[in-house]
Amino acid sequence: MSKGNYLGEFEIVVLSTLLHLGENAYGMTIRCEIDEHTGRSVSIGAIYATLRRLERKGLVVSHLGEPTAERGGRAKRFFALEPAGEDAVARSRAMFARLWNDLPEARG
Amino acid sequence: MLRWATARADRDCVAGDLAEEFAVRAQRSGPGGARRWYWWQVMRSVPTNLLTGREVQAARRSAIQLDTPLRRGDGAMSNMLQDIRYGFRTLAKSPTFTVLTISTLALAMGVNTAIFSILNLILIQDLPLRDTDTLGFIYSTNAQLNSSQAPVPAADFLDYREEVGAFGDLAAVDRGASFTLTGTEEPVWIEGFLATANTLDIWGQATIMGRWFTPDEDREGGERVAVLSHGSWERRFGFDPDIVGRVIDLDGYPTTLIGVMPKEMEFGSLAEAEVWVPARLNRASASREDRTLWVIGRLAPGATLAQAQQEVDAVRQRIIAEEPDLQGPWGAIVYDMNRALAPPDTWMIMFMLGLTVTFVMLIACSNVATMMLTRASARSREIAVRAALGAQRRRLLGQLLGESAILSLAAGLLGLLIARASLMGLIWMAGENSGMNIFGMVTLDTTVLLFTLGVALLSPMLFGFIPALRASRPDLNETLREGARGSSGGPGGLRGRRFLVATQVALALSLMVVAGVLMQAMAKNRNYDPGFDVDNVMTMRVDLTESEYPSGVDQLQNFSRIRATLAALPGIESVTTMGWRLGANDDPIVARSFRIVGQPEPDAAELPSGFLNVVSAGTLGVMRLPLLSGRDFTESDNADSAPVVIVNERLVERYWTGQALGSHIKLGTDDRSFEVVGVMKNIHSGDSSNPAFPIIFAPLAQNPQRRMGVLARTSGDPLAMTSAIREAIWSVDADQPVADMRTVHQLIEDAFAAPMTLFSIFVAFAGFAVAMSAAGIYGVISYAVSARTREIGIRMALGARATGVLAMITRQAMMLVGLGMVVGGAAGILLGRLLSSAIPDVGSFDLPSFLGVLAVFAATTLLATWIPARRAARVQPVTALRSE
Repeated sequence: MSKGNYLGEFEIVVLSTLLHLGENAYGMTIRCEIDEHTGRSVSIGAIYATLRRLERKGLVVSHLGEPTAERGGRAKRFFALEPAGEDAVARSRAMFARLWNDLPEARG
Repeated sequence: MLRWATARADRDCVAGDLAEEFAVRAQRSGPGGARRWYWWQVMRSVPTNLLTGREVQAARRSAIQLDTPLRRGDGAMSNMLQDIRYGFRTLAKSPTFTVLTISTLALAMGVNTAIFSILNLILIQDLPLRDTDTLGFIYSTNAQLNSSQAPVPAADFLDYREEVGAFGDLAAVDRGASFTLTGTEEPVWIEGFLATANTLDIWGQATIMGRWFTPDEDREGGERVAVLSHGSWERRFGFDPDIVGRVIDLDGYPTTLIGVMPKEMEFGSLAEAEVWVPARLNRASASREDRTLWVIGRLAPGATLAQAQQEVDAVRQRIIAEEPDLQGPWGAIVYDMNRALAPPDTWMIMFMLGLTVTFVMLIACSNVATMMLTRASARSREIAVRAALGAQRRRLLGQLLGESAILSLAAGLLGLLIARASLMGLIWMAGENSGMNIFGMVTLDTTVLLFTLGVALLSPMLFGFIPALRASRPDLNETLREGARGSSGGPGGLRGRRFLVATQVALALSLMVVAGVLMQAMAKNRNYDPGFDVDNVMTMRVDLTESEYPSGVDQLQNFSRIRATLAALPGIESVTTMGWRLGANDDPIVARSFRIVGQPEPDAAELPSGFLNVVSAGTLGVMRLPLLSGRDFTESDNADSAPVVIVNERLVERYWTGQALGSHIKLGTDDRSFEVVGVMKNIHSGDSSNPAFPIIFAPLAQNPQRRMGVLARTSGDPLAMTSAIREAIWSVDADQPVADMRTVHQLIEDAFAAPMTLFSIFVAFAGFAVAMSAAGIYGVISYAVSARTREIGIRMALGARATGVLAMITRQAMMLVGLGMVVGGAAGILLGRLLSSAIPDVGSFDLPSFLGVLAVFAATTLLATWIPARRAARVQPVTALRSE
């Protein structure tokens, strides 16, 4: 991939959200969490598309949970970070830190 | 929808996520907001998913290409994929064009299909009958009453069944029966149809559960059985699987339910039936006078309808010879199914509709054509450059076609969705307005759907192909130079588009002229004066059961108790009972032949006939139906006094040679001689094909019957009195069903609901066409004008005045639209003529709507010319010269 081992902005958002949520990370909670933290109302389709892409990259793993009644009897798909995913977040963080360290405070 | 929104593997989880958050949101901000959010989520997820899919494919493809570097992707298949991908990209770059093209086609397709499907069902019912070629329908005719599709008397039916050999089998249905269903929480009045035992057989249908009745049960004294309609099984018995064998109380008689009808048989008026009961016709009680039976027969092998008609005529001749006084004016006619079930003007309406569908589609197509041609000519330079750089013609064509294919498919899919959605919308609207139950079975009409889908799919291909052909074989020099000169697509392209503009104007205008005629007809129906005071009258039907009120005296007493109880209610001014509630089109009314005593005997065929309505004393006063001479019925017109009638103006004009008031008539088989004690004014039904009914009123007290309408004139809003009135009638007899409570206004409105719906749909249709073509006109003209920026600049540079240039440009555009107006106006007037011959009493031309449309088009043209022209005239000539 042309981006090398670095992640896209939305990928970082999603991965960080997974870190926040820990064990309770599935479609709806992820969507709400992103909404809450970034103020961006993202479509559920975009989240799944991103998660699936991250899964293909081996950064994320998913498993099916138990179906519950409030979901019309449909199962949840839980997502969790793989060690590689955690590394990727850390790397991105470090990269941004390096980039921004020397920057003057952004004006207005 | 979710199918497009998510990858297959995730669909379930996503649906679950959405459902969960939906529930949370529904609690927080109400179901409406949550639903909007839900759909917003789904809609927004579609493009993401499609893009992801493509991304994956692209990745896969690039992998293949890396593996085989020598195959540079020029296999046909990969070319096509490339073309399509290229199409997506170019379309995404001009979203306005894409959205406009797709939505124009999809809207035209969707709306067209939905509307046509509904009208199709109203007009030509696609009946679930078997072998319709060998079916024949017998009707009574009466030239005196202008009726050609009246039901047949039971005695005639029995004669036909015995004597007409051309029919292998004849069945009869009496649609006018109603029953009181008791034993449930409150007495209910349900519509039932009486039918002969062979009815289902002739229809070629079978019950879905249990069985139909046997000839034994269809005989006087046979066991009491009934077959439930599918709808009734659903509504009243909740699909009870053990319904067969259950005993219900019909009109006080225990009746065994033996079967359930198939759902397919709920079409048209048959949908009203809740139960089917054996007709039990027999010679002894069969009437020659009461026309109640709808007769359908299956031709014997080898027999024709013409033979059947001959034999039926022979039977009629014999009957008339036996009873000339009674039967003279009545004949019988055998129809095939198309004639029998279609209203006489159907072909005309179908023709108009077909025309409309075609016109709307044509307008949509020409809009699309215009947009695509414009786009193609705007891109001709790009294509020329690519051709000059060595692109193969095949590839250029392929790319343009790939674009068209995407447009086609998107328009087709969206069109299907719109068709479904607008059909639901229309059904809902129609249900709200008229409560017409036939809409329950509307589905999208396949023929029209395929037609419009075909057009939606083909037209972008076609209109993409023509410019593609032209553009892909460019005279490179010419195009490049032309481009440099700043013309757009050359004079040829513009001429084509101008022609399209003129055509659109013509099509839309002619539709609107027709719509104007229909609006006139609607206004007429809405504003007609029925001849009596229709305000503040609540009506209902009270049908007394035979078992509880066997004698005429009981029936009379009960009705007068009801009248007295209602009249005592506060808020009710006066009350009357009538067999046929004025204004209703579905109450039973009987036709009677009569003779005027003292007038010379007319030929049997010209025996006077009129509709007999049995009413209680003081009816004219309650209905505020003016008397021309004589008096209203009073309480002293009773069983002990001399029989009397009141006739209407129309009847008198038609049949009386001398003074009507004071003369006597003999009614049908009745031995009594009735004195005419009053002449009342005509009652008009809004249906303009029946200007006024010939009507005879007779007092209930002298002609008791158990099925009556009750009408109460209220001082305030009659609807507010509904439950008070019902309670009052139940206080007289708690087992009495009070049915069909409607105000006179509602009766009249409902009587015209079907044609009105039809008309208003058509008008909406025409309006849609006008809006669409206005948008198209605006697009073409404004583009054409702005393409002349350079020319305008030159003219200005050479000293032309801004007003002069504006005037010139406007004049040219108006000429174009004017041409369309002339052609469209002429065509519209012709169509209007045609239409007014189908709908009597409507003009063929409606000036206001015509002028309105002219104004819309003129304004559109002016705007489309003026805005870009002014912009062009304002710019510095130098800038203008450099433009493009």
